[in-house]
Order: sequence, then structure tokens, then C-alpha cells
Amino acid sequence: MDITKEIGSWQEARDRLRKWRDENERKSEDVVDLFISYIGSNLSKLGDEKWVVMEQVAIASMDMHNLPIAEDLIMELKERFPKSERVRLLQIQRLNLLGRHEDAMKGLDAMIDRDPTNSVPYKRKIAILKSLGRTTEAIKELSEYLNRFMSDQEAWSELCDLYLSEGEYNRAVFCAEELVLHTPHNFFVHQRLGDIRYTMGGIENLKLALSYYSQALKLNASSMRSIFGLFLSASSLSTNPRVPPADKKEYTRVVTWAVDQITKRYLLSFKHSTLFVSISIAFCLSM
Amino acid sequence: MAQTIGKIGVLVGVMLLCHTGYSVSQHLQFLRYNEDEFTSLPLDMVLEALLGVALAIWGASATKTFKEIRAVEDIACKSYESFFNRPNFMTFNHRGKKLFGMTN
Repeated sequence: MDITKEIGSWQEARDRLRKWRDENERKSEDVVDLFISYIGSNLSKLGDEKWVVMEQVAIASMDMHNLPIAEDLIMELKERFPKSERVRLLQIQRLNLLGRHEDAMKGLDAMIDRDPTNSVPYKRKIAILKSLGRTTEAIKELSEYLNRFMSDQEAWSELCDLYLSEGEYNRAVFCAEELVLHTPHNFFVHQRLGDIRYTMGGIENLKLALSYYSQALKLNASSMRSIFGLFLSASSLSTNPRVPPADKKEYTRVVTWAVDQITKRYLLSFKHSTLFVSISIAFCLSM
Repeated sequence: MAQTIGKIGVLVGVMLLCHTGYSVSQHLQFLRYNEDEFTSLPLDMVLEALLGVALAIWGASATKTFKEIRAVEDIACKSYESFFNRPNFMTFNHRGKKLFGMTN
């Protein structure tokens, strides 16, 4: 409901949808709201972008379990692109939504037979297994998939999450390290490795976590998670009895620096609000 | 406005370069007919080529705002949510069914 207050016209709505498509955002509620308020009645004005927007809204409305909108859009897309594999994928997602997982699996197997080089049906099969709770099967399938499509970052990220949900931290670290190899300039991947290493615990892992968080901070100085991670791992190390005293001093220095940074940033974000509050209080008192 | 000027600039710059190429080939042909040695290109062709390049570069930089050269700056603005969103692995068996669902 908030998004309709921000956006005033269908052009702005279209631009916002395009931005979310490019930046890979899953804002399903906002997409559906924008569609209902602005885009739905103005679809013909979008030109060729219409079909991509319809696909985006169809997926978002399925995510919101809003079946009528989804089915309308899928039917229109099917009429326009009767032989398209992308539309077939939307239909299979609809089957998933309705709980007909066996039919969905059969459909995906048929898609794989038609074109074994298309990576998407494999991934959707793994997603179905994951949603059914068959995590070990999903992990096995995903590992086989990654043997073939080794550079698929999304899949490595997914495998990392699956291993984390099973508690297999060592293998999750391996997957997360693959991601670091792909995009070393992305601070998220370092941060995530820091998180996993911190969770694993033990002096060696905590030291590694410290270095990963530092790298994440070097790449993006405004990442609060990295600073908190730095603080936590440094404080765990500084209070650990098996750490030599010289290193302990170093870690305590890191802790004080981190605490200083955290308080500074929170004060910075509150400064403007406290100023406003104090001015308004002074104004009310003077009345 | 800047966009169209920039695009015109690029077009004119590229056309100047093409014209220069054509005139250089004509010039070399002329030298071959006269059996002269090729010492250097005439000055106006060199100037034309340089002008064409400069115009094209200026036009290209006027048409768009460029992205940051360091990929780090681009990524620092992204949200945590968008990084972990994997659309191909999206599942629908979340609480959304009960919270928003119109199907029973």
C-alpha cells in the first residue's frame, strides 16, 4: 500500500518496475500493487516492454498467491508466444503454486529432454525438491548440476545456503569461497564468509572471520553487518583464554575501534531526528 | 538536448573519419599513378582525422552519464535483500499463502 503513495503515474511505475528487474529485487507485494493501480489499465502503452513486465508481474502475483492475476497474464503470454520455453516455465511455476508438484516435475523433465543445455529447468527442479523439504536430494542434484555448469553463481549461492541449513559448515565455506573467486570486489561474499567462519567458532575460524570482515569493510566502509561482525569476532578472540596476551592487546584495540565506529554511525543517523525533535519541543514550549 | 547534440557529434566525427580514409586511399592511388614516393600524408587529412576522433569522443561523452569505473561503488549501494535473491530458485511455500493468499 505504501508504494502507491510514492508513485504518481504509470510512467513512474513502469520505470520502477524496470529498476527492480535490473537490480534483481523480489518486491512482489509492491509489484502487484503497482500493477493493480497503474500498469494494468495502461499495458498497451508500454510497447514491447509489455511482455517482460507481464512476466515480472505474473511471477510476483504467484509469489503473493494471487492466482487470478497470474492466470490471466500467463494465458495472454501463452497466446502471444505459444512455443516459448519461458512461458512454459511460468505455467510450471503455476502448477507448483497449486501444489501439483508431480506434474511440475514431469513438465520440467520434458523441457530438459527437449533442450539439455538450458540450465533453468534443472534449477527449478532443485527448487521444487527444496520446497518439498527433500534437502539431501536437492543438494545431490545441485552438486551434479554444478559439475556441468560450474560458473553459475546463483547455484553456488543456493548450494551454500542448503549446506548451511543442514549444518555442514565446511562445505558451505567451500561454496562461499567459489563465490569469492567469481566476484572478489563484491563485499557481500566476504561478509558471508565471515559470518560462516564466525558461526563455526574456534580460534582459527575466528581469525579468518576477522580478516573476511576487514576485507568487506575495506570494500564498503558503510556496511554495518561487517562492523558488528568485526566487533563480535574481535571480542570473542580477546576474551578467549588460549590466545597469547600480545594478540589479545591487538584484538582489544580492534574492539574499541569497532565500538567507536558503531556509536559514531548510529549517532550520525539519529542526529537529524534528535535535532528536529528538540526544535519542535522548543517550539511547542514557547507557544 | 545534450543527448541529441552528442549523438550528432558522434555521427559527424565518424563521417569525418570515413571521409579521411577515403581521401587517403585516393591520395595513395594518385601517388601510385605519378610514381611518387610516399613521404607523408597531406596536412589537411591528418587534421581532419584528428578532428573526427576528437568530435566522436566528445559526442560519446556528452550522450550519457557513465557508470563508476570501480565495480565496488556500484555494489556498495545494493541491498542485502537483492544480493541473496535467486529468482530461479524461488519457491512459493512460504507464509505468504496465509498472509496474502486469495486462493483458499
